[in-house]
Amino acid sequence: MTEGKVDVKFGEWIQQGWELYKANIGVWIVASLLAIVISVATLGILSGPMMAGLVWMALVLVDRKEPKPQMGDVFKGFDYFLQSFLFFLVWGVIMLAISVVSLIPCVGTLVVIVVSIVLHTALMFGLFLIVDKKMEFWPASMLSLNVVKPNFFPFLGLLVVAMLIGHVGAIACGIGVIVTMPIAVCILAVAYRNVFGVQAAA
Amino acid sequence: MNTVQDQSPITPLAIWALILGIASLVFCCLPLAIPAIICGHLARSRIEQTPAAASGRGMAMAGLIMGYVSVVALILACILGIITAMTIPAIIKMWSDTPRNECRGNSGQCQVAITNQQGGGL
Repeated sequence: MTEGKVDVKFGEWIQQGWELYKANIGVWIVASLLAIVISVATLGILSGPMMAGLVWMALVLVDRKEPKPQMGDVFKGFDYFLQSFLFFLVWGVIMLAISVVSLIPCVGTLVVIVVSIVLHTALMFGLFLIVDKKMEFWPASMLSLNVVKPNFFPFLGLLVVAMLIGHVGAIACGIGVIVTMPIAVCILAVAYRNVFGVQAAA
Repeated sequence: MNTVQDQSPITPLAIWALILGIASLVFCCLPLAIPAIICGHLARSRIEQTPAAASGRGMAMAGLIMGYVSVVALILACILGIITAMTIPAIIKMWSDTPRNECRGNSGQCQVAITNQQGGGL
């Protein structure tokens, strides 16, 4: 586990993430469609486990494990249901509480945007740690924060690039997110594996 | 490192709990929420009894949570509906009475003015 300085290799990680996505594009699109539809239909209650499912698939691809993940493997996220659900619930509630600040004229909205970006960057590896190392949501969040803290701006840059790529599909009435969101997951999975390394087999 | 969990098969009750839980939220339907809760509890107890033979704890818990959320949402919707049904007629009555009350008030004022005028004239 790395908690010191990390060399953030933008180009290399984005390239590897794109390759992972491109090689399994059909599986990614269907899995992403399932994840988004179920998350929206359940008012966000299942966002955590569905995202955990996508993360699980990305990690299996990064580790080049056989058999390759299938579209139904998005439901593997339910193996981490409680922790992923709590991760989304607790941080969602915290963000909602912080968003009250936006009621303050002028500065309020700016503060909320800055805090939101900082939180997203600090927690970018939280769900990966829950899925990969089977950690509880709070230690996973704190570990992610500790790793990101000394390398905040490089990781912020990586997250911004990944999110821009991942959300560019939103231009097409939001439907394109189904196609582009898994690219962001793949890029972050490659980054996670490079930062945290491969865990020894149990 | 092994991220893939080799597991026992998922119990069908857990899958049913998840499907019914999602359907109960989508259709806001109590007859789907209650079976979701029942299936969720049954699946959890079955998994606890035979952990080697059955899995799907996460799906069962998801079904349970969505079932309970649906029930709570429906109860809140019923309470809101009853409160609305009780208050709206009173509000409508108040609105419809407002011009009449204003008219009565104006008539009273006119009456006072006429009385004063007559008193002053004398």
